[in-house]
Amino acid sequence: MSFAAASARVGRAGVVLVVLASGAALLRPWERLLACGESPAEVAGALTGLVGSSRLLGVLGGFKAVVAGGCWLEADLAWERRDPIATRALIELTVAVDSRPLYFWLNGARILAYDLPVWCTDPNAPAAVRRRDRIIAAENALAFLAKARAGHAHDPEFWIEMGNLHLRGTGNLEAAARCYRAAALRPGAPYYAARIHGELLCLLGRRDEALAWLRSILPTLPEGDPAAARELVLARLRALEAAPTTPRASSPAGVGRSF
Amino acid sequence: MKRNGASPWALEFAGFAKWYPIGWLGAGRRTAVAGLTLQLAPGQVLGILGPNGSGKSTVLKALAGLIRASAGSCRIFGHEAGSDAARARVGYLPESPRFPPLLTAREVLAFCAGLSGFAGFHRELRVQQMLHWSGLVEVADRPIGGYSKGMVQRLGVAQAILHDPDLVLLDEPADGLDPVARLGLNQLLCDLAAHGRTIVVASHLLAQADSICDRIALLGAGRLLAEGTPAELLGRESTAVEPTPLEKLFLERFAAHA
Amino acid sequence: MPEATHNGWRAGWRRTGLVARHTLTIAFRLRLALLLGVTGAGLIAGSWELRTFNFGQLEVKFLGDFGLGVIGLFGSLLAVLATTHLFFDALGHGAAPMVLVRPVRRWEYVCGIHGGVATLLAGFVTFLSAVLAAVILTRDGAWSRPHLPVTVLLQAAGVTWLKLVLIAAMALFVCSFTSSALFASCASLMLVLAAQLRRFAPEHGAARLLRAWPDLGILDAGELLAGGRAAGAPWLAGLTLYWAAYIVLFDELSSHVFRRREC
Repeated sequence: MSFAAASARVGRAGVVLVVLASGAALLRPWERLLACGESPAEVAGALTGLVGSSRLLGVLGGFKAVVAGGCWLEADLAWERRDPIATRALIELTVAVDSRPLYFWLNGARILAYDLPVWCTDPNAPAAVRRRDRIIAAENALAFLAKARAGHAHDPEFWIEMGNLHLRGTGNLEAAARCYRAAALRPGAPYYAARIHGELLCLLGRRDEALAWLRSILPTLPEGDPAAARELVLARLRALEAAPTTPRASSPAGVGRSF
Repeated sequence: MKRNGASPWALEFAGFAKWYPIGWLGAGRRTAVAGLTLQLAPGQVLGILGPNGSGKSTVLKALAGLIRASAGSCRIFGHEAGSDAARARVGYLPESPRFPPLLTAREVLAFCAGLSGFAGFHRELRVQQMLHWSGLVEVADRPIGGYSKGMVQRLGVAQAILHDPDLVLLDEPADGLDPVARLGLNQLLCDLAAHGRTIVVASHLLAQADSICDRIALLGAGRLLAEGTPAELLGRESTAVEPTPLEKLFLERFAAHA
Repeated sequence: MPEATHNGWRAGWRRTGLVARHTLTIAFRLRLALLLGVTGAGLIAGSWELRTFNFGQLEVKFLGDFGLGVIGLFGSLLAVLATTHLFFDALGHGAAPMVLVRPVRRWEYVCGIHGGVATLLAGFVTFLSAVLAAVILTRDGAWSRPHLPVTVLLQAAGVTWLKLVLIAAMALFVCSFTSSALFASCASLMLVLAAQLRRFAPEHGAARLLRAWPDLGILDAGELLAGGRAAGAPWLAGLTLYWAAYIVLFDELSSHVFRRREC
């Protein structure tokens, strides 16, 4: 009897579990359709970083913005101490906790690209070594920023920052031109994104393409708006029309140029 | 209300047994009642007597449909105990009843009346009647947390008989009652019996059982030790509902003080 | 004399409503909702003091995010603690037997308790959402165009309520087979955590059993607020149906387990 009673009890519990699991299995496809927001991998990253910390409770409790703000402040403190490892880890943690504000992505990428190589490289090292470190840091920053693409690809600011990193960090003008074009095509993009794209095409020796691009954007530039700099674009168009060819840039010569 | 079903018995145990599983998986067992066979005719008052742990409360819970028989059967007016038909005819007072301390007696009785099918004016009327009967009118709108044990007990009895059930199950109803309330309770049980209600009282107050019960069942360690009328068991007629000398003194002093 | 018949769906729902009302009355007087509500309202009202932690977000969105966090966290605590306390208080104090001895079916009792807690949670969410709306409107008043439309806030509050009611259903399911309020509270809170992390459950191994649990992440209103735009009716309808399916599943399982329970 004892065995029968125990097995009946286990059996009843099993039936309940099976019904629950079956119900959940039936609802799984529906669940996938409804799921939105951050990908599981992103949130998993955040939670892994928070294991053992009281901030985990905050994130799970729904206080992502506040917890991310706290992480960012800590990253700032690490930045003041010029601690590259802590700074990078805290920036990664911040965006993992709350990937929604673009502010974290842009400023995090700038710190990774421009500050970390300065802290980590001996100022007396040969120029080639310093240059190599800057390129590596820029590539790291680009990889970091690329993770924001899923949530922020609609924002021209994201593409402008990508373009800046290519232009000033890795010196990849082709990639920079692509990013500025992507930024210029987004609604609400600043006028200078389109101008820089045109300028980069010139630097790359693609005069005809640059001419076509500048002609296409000219009608969209309002007169009398200093930000639109219509006169500047017109002058550039005239200069390009006058000069039959533009020398192809072989190095990041555009760095430091005024657009 | 329909008084009796097809069965000639108000309640009927046939080889009833109840054991509880012990251990995490319930592989062991503890027997509370074993092999109980007992019948009671409608309109009778049955006293179930026995020491603590003898199975009195288990028997009442089985009649109320709160626990299932491990073996045998338990029927009320021909219906399986716990069925809708059986529960509609049962009123139950658990041992040491406790109510949500933040509610009032009026709210508890109104809730119970609603669950028993009373609605609207009839519900209000019935609640008021039961408040009067239980002597709780004065405190009807105060939280139960401030009640004395006797007041809670009276409220418990009131909710048990509120819907005028055919079978009233009372588990230690006199527990916590003062002599006045106890005599009042005895009187009420006699009145209910006079109106054809069947009553089962589990008690260890032998004097009370002797005075009001038509039949008595003695339980010990979950087994029925003896069953019959008080006369059969004691060899004499049962005594009337009379207070003991000490109770008489208490009542006289209480009346003078009041 | 009792008027209504004891049988039929109508009588069943009437009794369910009575149990729900009774549960709600006790829950209100417990003052747990009051404590959590007042504390939550204080936190929401003072949330703009936390703007030091806001980086790159519109202030109103930050406030909304924080406010919904408060409602979600405190609401989850209320859903679990109120459900387990009310369930075991009635069972342990003998009030449940006095109800169940009447012609009240077990599913009516379980659904009644759930209904009472759901109504309590509705009041809780409404109160805190009103405080949050007042804070947001006060801060947003400086701009001519609201940055956080009221419809978005209403939807977020509604989705949060759905989540809390589902948590209460999960807690009730745990209560139906456990024997102490403390154990049920702790187990329910752990299961809420598991449901929140449910989407990370691996596809293989024993941990995939977690996938039998609902994904509470789907019912996170923060994402709705982050977009700043009202969700479409099809998505909301789908979400409500998903929620309703789990509510029915949990209430049915709770009733099934509770039916076998002896009081």
